[in-house]
This record gives sequence, structure tokens and C-alpha cells, in this order.
Amino acid sequence: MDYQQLPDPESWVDEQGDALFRYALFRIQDGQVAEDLVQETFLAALRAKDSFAGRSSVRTWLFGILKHKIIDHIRKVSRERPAEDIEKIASFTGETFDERGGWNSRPAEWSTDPSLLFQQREFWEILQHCLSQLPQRLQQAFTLRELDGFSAEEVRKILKVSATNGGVMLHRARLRLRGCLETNWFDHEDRKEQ
Amino acid sequence: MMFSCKRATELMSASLDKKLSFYQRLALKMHLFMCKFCSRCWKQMLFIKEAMHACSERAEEIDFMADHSLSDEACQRIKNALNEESPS
Repeated sequence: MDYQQLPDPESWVDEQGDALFRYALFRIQDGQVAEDLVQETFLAALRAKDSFAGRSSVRTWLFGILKHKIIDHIRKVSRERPAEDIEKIASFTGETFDERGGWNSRPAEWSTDPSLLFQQREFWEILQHCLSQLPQRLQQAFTLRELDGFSAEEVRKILKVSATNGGVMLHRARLRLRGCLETNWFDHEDRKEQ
Repeated sequence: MMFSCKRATELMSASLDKKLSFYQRLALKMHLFMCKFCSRCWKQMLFIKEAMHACSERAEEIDFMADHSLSDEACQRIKNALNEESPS
């Protein structure tokens, strides 16, 4: 282990604290919990600093630890407070579809060219805004699946929900996110072009 | 049409998480062929999946919640905790 590669722990907080805090806040949406997770991340990093191989940047290493802490936190909260609002979530598609299951608000055509959109900072801001508009349990199901890359089966185990409810949650999250992006980004883009 | 648009979106979502049965795949394909709104929705769901993947790969660069920062008190508290852990 080459200790020269790691700056001293106090400067970790100055240099990486905000980035870690913002990511934790984005995932957990609770400032107090986000602070605690950042503190736990730094402490875990300090204890494990011998394992920092210098192959990745300090930030990548710390983000890796934080992501584990976030998942542990979600697991713990789900164990203590299992699926309280699934009922509310399940009733949501009432807004999207009529009673016969047809579209209430028909999907518009958007440009889905990633090479164009992913370069734009504003796109990420709106995606993040739309994720934050999801009810917390839906946001967690969706980010565990699509950001962390867990399988749907792993997601439902982490959240302590049945396979059926897990599928319902991912479906609702995708529909809501689609609707929110359409309203906040693509409508707005059309207006700019006109 | 064999089933509703609502049901079609359920199958679209399920297909992103698991393998559908032969019948489900066929039925979804036929629905998408006939329904331009569901067909758009499907393209957009795939796009969102791709965006989330890109988001995950760039998690360290994308400045999430850029208008928030660790408070000075929290910074100090964390530094104190680190110093206690490693008094050197």
C-alpha cells in the first residue's frame, strides 16, 4: 500500500464531501440520513484505506463505498417499515389510463437520440427532477433496478415486497417517469424549436 | 385489439425485467404494430432505460442536487469522527 496516494482524511471531507452528500441526498431524499451515510462512508474508507489500491480515483473509491451504504440503508428501512404505500401506488394508473385501459393522455413523439440528449446538462437536471417526483418507494425500486443494476428479483428482496408488487412498482415508476419527461423536457424542447 | 393499452404497458415493463412467454411476446408485438401510442411509449421506455444506464456510469460527474452542500456543522462533525477514529 502506498500511503502517498491517499490525501489525509480531513481533506477527503473538504474535497469529496459535497459530491458524496449530493449523491446520497439524490438517492435517499433526507438530508439528515444523507449526512449520516457520508460520515459512515468516510469512516469505512478510513478503516479500509489499506485496501485502496490507487487503481481508481479517490472519488470513485468513495462513491463505491457510499453506494453500498445507500443500499444497506434501504434494506434496513424496508425491513423495519415494509411496503406501507403499495396500495396508493397501485391505484396510480387511474390517471394514465381510462377505465377501459386506453390512454388518457396519449404519448407524444419525442426525439430519443441519446447522443444528443446525454450531452446536455439540462437533460440530467430534468431526469433527476423527475426521479425526485416519484414516491420514495417507487424511486427506490426504480433506481435499484436501473442505476444499481439489480435484477427485479433482487430489488423486491431488498424492498421486502412480493414479486407482483415489485413488478407493479417498476411499471408505475416507468410510466410516471415517461410522463414527467414528456411534460418537463420534450414539450419544452418543442416550444424552443418553434 | 387483444388487450388494452394499459395491459400492453405492463407487458412492456415486465419485458425489461424478465423474459416474457412466447404468447405474451407475440401479443405485445401485435399490439405495438397496431397502436402508435403504445409504440411510442415502448421506444420511450427503452430510451429511459438507456438514460438511467448512462446516468449510472456518470454518477460521479453528474452534479446531482447541485444546489445542496454538506453544512459546515456536518463537515466538522465528520472530521471530528475521523480524528477520533485515527488519532495520529
